[in-house]
Amino acid sequence: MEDAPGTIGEDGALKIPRNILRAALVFAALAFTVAFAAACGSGGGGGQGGGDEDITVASDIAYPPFEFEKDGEPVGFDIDLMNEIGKRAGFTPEYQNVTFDGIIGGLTNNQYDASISSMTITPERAKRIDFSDPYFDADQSLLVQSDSGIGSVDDLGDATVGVQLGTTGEIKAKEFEEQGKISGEVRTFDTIEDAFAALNNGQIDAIINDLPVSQDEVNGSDGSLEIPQVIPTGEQYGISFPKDSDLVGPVNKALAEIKEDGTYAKIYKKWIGRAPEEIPQ
Amino acid sequence: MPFEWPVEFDPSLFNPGRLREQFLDLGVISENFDTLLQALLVTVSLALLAEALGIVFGLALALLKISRSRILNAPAQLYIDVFRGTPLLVQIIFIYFATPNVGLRIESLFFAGLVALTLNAAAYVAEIFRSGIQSIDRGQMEAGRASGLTYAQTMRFIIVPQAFRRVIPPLTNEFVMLIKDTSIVSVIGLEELLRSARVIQSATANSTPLLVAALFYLAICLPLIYLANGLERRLNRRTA
Repeated sequence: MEDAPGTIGEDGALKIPRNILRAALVFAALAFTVAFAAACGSGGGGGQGGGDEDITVASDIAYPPFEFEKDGEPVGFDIDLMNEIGKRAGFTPEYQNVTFDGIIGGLTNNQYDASISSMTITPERAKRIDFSDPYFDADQSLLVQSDSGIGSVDDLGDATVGVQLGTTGEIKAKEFEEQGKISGEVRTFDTIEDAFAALNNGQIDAIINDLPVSQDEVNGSDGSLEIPQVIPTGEQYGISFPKDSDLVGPVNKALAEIKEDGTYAKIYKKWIGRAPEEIPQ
Repeated sequence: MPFEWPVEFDPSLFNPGRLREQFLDLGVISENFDTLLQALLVTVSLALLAEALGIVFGLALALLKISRSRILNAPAQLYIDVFRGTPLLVQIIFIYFATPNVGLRIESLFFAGLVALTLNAAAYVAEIFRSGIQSIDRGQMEAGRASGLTYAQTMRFIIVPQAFRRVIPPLTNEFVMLIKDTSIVSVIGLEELLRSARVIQSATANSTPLLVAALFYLAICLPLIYLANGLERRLNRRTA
């Protein structure tokens, strides 16, 4: 009987027929060429700022109106703000689309130079990463289907509550769980869009998440979703960096200018649809 | 555009202390070990059930596929092609997020994951059974038919039992893949081993739970990998 491809021969050595070896070599060369072309292509794109230094900016680009994709390009409040900061501070942000729960780890391990991803400044997070000055005033919110009969967090009972993994919404939900306001399941999703899909499908009963993002979802829902309760937290978003990053100073300086000269209000109006009540300090 | 290496070594980043702190924090392990063990149980039961159902469904598919009737083999072929040719992640998202729109609401995440894994595993199992059955010498079928058995009886009592022995090593390898693939079900929110580790990772701001999860996967997969290798060697000796 002749040996099948890749079988062990009498002497115990692996025999690989020459034609298979040749095919594997051709395949490897092809794969390398494609990967090389892709690397060159992506390296050249995405330069909008005209700054002199490229920096890697991580963002969970599935969070309208702050960061989402349009025609294959990241757009939104955070993106406009970061590009403007880059222009003034002399760098070009290269956005890397990541899951939110991986951002802090990626920053602490120096995988990214910075992140702008609607991230709330909290003392726990600030132990591991550095934040810029706050750039957005946000609150949490309870999002439900309009006919759910849930009027506030106190009505949740054994409802299934969706949150995005690693967000302040998740932290808030865990808090409500400890207080006994949520006796059902707190279900975590990788992206807020997945949570929205589950809510629209009736697979979960409510979502606790940042107000502006849930508001954006309500606006596009033709009345099927509502926010019965705003959960005031006074939380603020910050741009984040690895500890002791050199970027914090220049970014803060540019951010202060942007708040001062009216550019902030312009970006706010464009994405939130109204003028900011006050500029976050 | 000049070529740039996608990897660079930056000695200023070198920090084994942080690596240990981030990925091997014994305190985080001891505080969350029970939760991870619970999640391991979910993963194992998911994998066992999906494999068992996948074998039943996959054997049926294989028999359909080798049948001469076009009405029987064409749908089986289509099924196998679709499930082997699309990513499991896409299949799971479809099964969970698209089904409510056709009026089917899958209430249990475990069930949704089980359905997706079973449907996927069946396609791979079918191919394994098909090659196993076709590896049995043609003469066996002819002998069976000549001794008065029907096609179905020959399959049932002569061909399939022999094929079963031959497919055990590849089936074991497929099972190992399935065990690891259960982690993909975490995308719909099921707290199996991977998601449980990530939830703890998010709560503790520490990546150690991922390492523990990886060791758990390794602990159940490695014995199976060696079992498959051993069985394969024994089988090769016998048929040589």
